[in-house]
Amino acid sequence: MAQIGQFALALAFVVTVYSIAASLIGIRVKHDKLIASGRNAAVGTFVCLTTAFLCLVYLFVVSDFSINYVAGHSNRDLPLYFKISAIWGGQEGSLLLWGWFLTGYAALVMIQNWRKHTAMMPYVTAVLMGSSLFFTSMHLFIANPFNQVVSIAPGGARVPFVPADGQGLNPLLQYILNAIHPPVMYLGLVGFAVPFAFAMAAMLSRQLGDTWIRTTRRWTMVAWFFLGTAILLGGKWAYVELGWGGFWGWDPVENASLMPWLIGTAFLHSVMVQEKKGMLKVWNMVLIILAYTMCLFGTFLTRSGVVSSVHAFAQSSIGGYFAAFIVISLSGALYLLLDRLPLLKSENQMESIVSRESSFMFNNLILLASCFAVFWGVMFPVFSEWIKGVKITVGPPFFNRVNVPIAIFLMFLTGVGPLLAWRKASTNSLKRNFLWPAAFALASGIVLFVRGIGRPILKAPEELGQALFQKLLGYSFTSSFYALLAIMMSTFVAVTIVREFYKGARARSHGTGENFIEAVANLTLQNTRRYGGYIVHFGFVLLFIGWAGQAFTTDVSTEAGIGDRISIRQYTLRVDKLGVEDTPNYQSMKATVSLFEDGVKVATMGPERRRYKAGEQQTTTEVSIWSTLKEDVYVVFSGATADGKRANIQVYYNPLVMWVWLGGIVLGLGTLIALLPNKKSGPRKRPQAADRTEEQKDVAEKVS
Amino acid sequence: MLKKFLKRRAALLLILATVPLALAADQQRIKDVASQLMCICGCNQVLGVCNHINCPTSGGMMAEVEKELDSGKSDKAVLDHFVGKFGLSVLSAPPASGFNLTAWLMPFAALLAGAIAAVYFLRRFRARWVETAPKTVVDTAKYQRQIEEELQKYTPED
Repeated sequence: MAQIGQFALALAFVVTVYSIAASLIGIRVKHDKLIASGRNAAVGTFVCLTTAFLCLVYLFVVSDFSINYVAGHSNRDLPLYFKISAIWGGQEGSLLLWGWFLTGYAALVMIQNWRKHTAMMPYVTAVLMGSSLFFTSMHLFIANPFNQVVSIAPGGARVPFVPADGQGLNPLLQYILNAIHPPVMYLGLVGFAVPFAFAMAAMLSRQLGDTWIRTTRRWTMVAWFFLGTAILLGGKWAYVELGWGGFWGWDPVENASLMPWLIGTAFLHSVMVQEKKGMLKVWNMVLIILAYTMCLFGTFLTRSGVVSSVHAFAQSSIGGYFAAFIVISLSGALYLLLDRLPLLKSENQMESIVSRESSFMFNNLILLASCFAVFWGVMFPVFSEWIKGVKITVGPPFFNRVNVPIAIFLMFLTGVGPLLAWRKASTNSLKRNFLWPAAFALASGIVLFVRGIGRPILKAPEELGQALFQKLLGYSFTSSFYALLAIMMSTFVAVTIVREFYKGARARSHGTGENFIEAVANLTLQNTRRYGGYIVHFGFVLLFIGWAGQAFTTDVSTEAGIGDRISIRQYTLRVDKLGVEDTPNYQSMKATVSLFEDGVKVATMGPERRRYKAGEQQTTTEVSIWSTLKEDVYVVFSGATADGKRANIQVYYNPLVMWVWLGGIVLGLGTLIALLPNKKSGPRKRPQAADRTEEQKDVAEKVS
Repeated sequence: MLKKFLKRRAALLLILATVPLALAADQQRIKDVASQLMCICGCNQVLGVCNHINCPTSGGMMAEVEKELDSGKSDKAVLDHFVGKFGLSVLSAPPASGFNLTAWLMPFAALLAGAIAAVYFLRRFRARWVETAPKTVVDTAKYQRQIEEELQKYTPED
């Protein structure tokens, strides 16, 4: 089977080269059959890599430890689902998965668009297959998953060798959500290759209207959806598996996935300006080039070891190849952009600074600033070492202090954008639209402030004798105050969203005679992009509220014997039992803990400490979480004392964490709605003249 | 006499009542300082949250933080103690001085530069619009009426 896989990889490489050559020569000599052959070859590459991937699946399922990659990442007693997920648990397999997804996307693009954009598609083929060539080369020459295990015989000869068992999968990866996290992440990262390829094809073919944007809108949303989902899955994994009580630690690898997502978000907003007004054409090109580059850069960060990370298990020597590929892709794209600048002139001009176009521009600015802050934080230790020769750390305090104010302002713009009309918003509409959201935000702020949230506002610097500038820089807002601002902004945005639905549905029910619920449903389904977008924004509101809760986490760490009680806020935990469990894959020490809320038992929790049997016999913590809308009680059992009678227990009280996961679900739902085609409208009832409402006047202004 | 006894008793109770608060404050101070330090075991985590099993360093470092604070040192003096021992990389964020100040300033400088650029482009776009906009006054009342009528018939769509 390994030989078939090896052959499929070699064939994929050859077919990819042929596809690029046939597409480019076909364009040059205007030979339609050659161009079609290049397209077919692109689909053929997908078939080859599918074959290679299935071969690897087979080798993992049958535990063929004669293959180096299988022996290094699996073992006989690993459950079947983890044997399959172990395929992307290391370098070679994860690269193969990436390459396979890329050719899968390419094949879908070919099938979907071939008859639609004849001038652009050969270039799309060439660009996508250009990326694919990099990956197929990596599979074949640098990180081949089908290499055999060899031992060095006396005399230096390399002889095949089959170990009795494999090294096993990294225990941190033996978590079901993390088993699907990498494929979802790759679907996101690879997905940005499609709009990038269309953007390059648009420039190469000089078809610089908005066709490329309209064609790839859904592709971009799909990539953005997968990337966002993967980020949340990663957060959930960190929360459940790493045992430090949080879901986001600003690790370089988390940052690596956040950066393309931030730029993708900016792109999704700014393409609307190009579609509606024919503006920001150059900017959209810049954004998609940056988004794709950041996808590659993220992978480079994860695998190069250039910065230290909790994802150290993914590091290898392939960083240099990725760096070279990034430089080639970026310089080629930028050269093309500079060359085509004269063709990318705006078709319209900005009528007013107070308009939806300008709010999108500021939204883009904030998203990019946030991305730059993350990039700067990730890379600053490297710059510091290069320039000053001093190794420093840029950890969570830096990212929180720099990014939190930016994120709060972004949330404010999330509320403002939809309230502004295209072209120009009048003072009246501003008053009408802002009054209630602002009033609710202010009211929520006052209520929370009176209840003690947000106080103290400022944290004074410790050393007051410093220079004035440093002293000023030393002052910072407290996390509680940021939480207050975050909740105020969330209220502001939530009220704007509810009003938009209410106004639209009310206007619709006046026009059609539908009841309010029907009107909301039909309104959403007849303009999925707009109302799906609002649902996405609402998902962010929930996420933001969950994130604000992190300002109030507290924890207690103690050694407790059977029957001992641990108190945290309104909860009390009682250690009932300490036991041992033995499975083929691991041995576990488990604490049984009763959880009481205000004296009433609400749950029995079972935090564990596991020692995995394969390989280096790593130890992990398996936390136990009691989750409610209000808070999580998060229990870590880090082991028992030598006599086995007392347990080392750490308990975290984490407010509002469930809102983060709920926000993620709503966000996904909104994206799926936005991806749906608009439902065609049916016959409508003519309303009475007297039924005209404020909402209709407001809509009149927005439409005009 | 009884009054004096009661006063003393009350004072004693007050002191006893504040002891847990003082301990809680110390714990909070230890956590605050630990959040400004990195665990040096290579886990790339902040000292306060590094709880991986059998970590060879975090326990010792936490105890050292507590000992240094107990000796009456200020938070900054404790951080300086760790920097002296392990180098600047033990701090979880770069100090806001010298070259490292650029770490803190660059994101905001970039944001400012971006804002200036955005305002510049918006003004340029607007100036072009003023130049190219029709100079004659058009009576839009007719179109506004038409929109109102259309809106009665159709739902709002973007």
